Amino acid sequence: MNVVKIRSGQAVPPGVWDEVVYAIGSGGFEAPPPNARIAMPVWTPEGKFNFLRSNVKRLMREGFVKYEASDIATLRMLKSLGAKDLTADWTLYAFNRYALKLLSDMGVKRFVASPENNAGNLAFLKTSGFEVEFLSRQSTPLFISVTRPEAQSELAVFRLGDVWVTTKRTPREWPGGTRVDYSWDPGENDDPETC
Amino acid sequence: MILRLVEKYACLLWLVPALLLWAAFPPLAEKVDALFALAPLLWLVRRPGAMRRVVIIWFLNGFCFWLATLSWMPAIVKNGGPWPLVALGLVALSAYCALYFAAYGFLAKSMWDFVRGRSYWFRLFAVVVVEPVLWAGLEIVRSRFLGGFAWNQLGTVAVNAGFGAPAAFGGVYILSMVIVLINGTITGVAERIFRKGGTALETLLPLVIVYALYSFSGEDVAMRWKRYFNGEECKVALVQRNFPCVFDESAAENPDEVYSNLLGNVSLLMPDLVVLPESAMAEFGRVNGANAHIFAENVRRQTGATEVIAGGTRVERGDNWLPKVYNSAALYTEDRTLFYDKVHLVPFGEFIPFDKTFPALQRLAPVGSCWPGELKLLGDYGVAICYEDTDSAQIRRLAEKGARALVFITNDSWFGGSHEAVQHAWQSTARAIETGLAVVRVGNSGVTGVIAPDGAATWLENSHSRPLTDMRGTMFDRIFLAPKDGKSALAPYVTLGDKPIFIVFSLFILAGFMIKYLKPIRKTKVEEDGIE
Repeated sequence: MNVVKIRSGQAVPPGVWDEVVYAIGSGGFEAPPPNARIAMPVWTPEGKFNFLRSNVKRLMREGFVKYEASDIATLRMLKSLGAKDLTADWTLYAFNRYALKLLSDMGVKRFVASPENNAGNLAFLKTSGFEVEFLSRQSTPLFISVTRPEAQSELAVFRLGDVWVTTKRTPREWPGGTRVDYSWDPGENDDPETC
Repeated sequence: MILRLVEKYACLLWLVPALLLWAAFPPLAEKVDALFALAPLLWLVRRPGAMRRVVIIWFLNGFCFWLATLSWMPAIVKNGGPWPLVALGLVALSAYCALYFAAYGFLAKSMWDFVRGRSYWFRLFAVVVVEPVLWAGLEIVRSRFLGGFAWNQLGTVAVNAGFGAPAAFGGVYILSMVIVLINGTITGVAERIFRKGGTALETLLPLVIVYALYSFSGEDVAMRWKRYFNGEECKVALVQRNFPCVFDESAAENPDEVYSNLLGNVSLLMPDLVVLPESAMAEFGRVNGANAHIFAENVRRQTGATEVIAGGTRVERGDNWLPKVYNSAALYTEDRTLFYDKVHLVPFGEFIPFDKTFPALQRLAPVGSCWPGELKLLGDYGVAICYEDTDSAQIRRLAEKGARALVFITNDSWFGGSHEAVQHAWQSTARAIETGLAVVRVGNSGVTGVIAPDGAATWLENSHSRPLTDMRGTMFDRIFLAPKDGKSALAPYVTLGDKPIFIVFSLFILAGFMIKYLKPIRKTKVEEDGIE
């Protein structure tokens, strides 16, 4: 299953995709592509959680039925709003059988393996019996902060909604993965800066 | 045996209907309770017995219900409200509203005293028509008489339970009739079980009526709603600011910063209209002042919206050069600012009765004595401020004037920490179905949301799926504006109003009066003639 994840403002890249995952911001976002799986933001300020909730409700009313949770809070919110088709992004950290079982019992049908897995754990996830997606490309965020981070060499720092994201300038790649994640890439308009 | 015990100790159970009825409304909102809450009381009126006892039990139930359901009123005390006046107001208002319960007990009991012993068709007519109409008629009177208290009509339970379609024809009052009809049907079943009276017809006929009513009105509402889908869309951003109540002078915030946070990133959603709550502009002076205009301009720039609606006070010089204060809403656009001054002012809140004649009374008005304005549209929108959203007649007039959507703004922070905000929001839900227009509602401390013309409400919620109250929040949604051609999408209730129900109610009262008082006079006259 080929999956691509983009965020608000990014266009769906060329290619044959079985599913497009569209990451929305905690504040606002542009209209998602039709039939996209809506991914929750990784960090939502407490004061904006209700805004996010109302936006998800609206998207549900507009016909979006597939959602991806980013953490337990968004998973609980999605379930309370009646979302049925749920997946979990890597930020939910399903590393072991117990975590996978727990999330599965909570209604999550597919998981994205964390880029922090070592080779042994990746091998375990492949044979765990749960449906796990593996990343093939991602600009993994190294640091997410509300305030602008101190300067670091060879890193890209850019503003993403309410937060500052620090990432390597070159995306990481894993052979054999099925999910391409563009959602952490500095965009053309994000004015990335090498610190 | 059981029946005798119940009869003997019935006085101990008199609180149960009031309790059930209270539970049907917020804070508990156990809506299903409304379907049988009145059944024990209807049983009472259908039984032979002393009128005085029936009226007293109905009054006490009404008093307990209103006292409990209005229990949010004392919340104003912690905001500086004078507690003796608040307590007096709560008891007086509850007693006043309970009079309508007592009146219903009296009228229904009188009717059943007449029906008893007559043809079965009288009984059937009483169950299916008279009982519901009497209730709805009294609710109409309560909502209009002396300025009206259009609060917690039984029908609001049905609307907020998603069964509001018939309101497109008879407003919230027809829904009250449906609920009383169901209560009466349950009473009839109980009568058949315990007293072997009545027939299955009086159970089946109401069910058929309710089914037919919902089928017909549901089709109608859905058909009119479909007309919107190809219509003009309006993207709205709603801001629940939650600024402190006017009594609280301790709060010191930078409103620009608060709004900046609340509206941050909303521009990505490209709203057409930003709605701020009632009194929002109080933080920036008068709605017609320079600071308010600057703030509205900033909001438009930050969000990209073309229109901003916000509430606040407006001051103009009267004939004698004395200032006249209005509770207003303003529509700010790039090239113009329009004002709507609140028409339906809250007595003892925004004015004291006769305070324009006796200016000394104006000092007693908590927020200053306001003047009523003139009913008009604010651009394409029909605006209602605070309590006005409970006034279905006023909202119908806005629809008639060509409103393409309704905007309700309110500030319920006076009753912060109580369930008043949710109860208030309940009252306004029916306005969407009654008019066939989309409703945008913004409360300073909640409840904020949009209501589709079919009555489906989407509220800004907390993480427990309950309406967000006493907290800040922002919400974005899309509404469809009614077509510009005017009345094609409006609900029939806009034209019909409450007249059909009220006329039937009046006829019943007149007939009851004639039967009770004119018949004995005629008898007496015949007897006198016979003597002669």
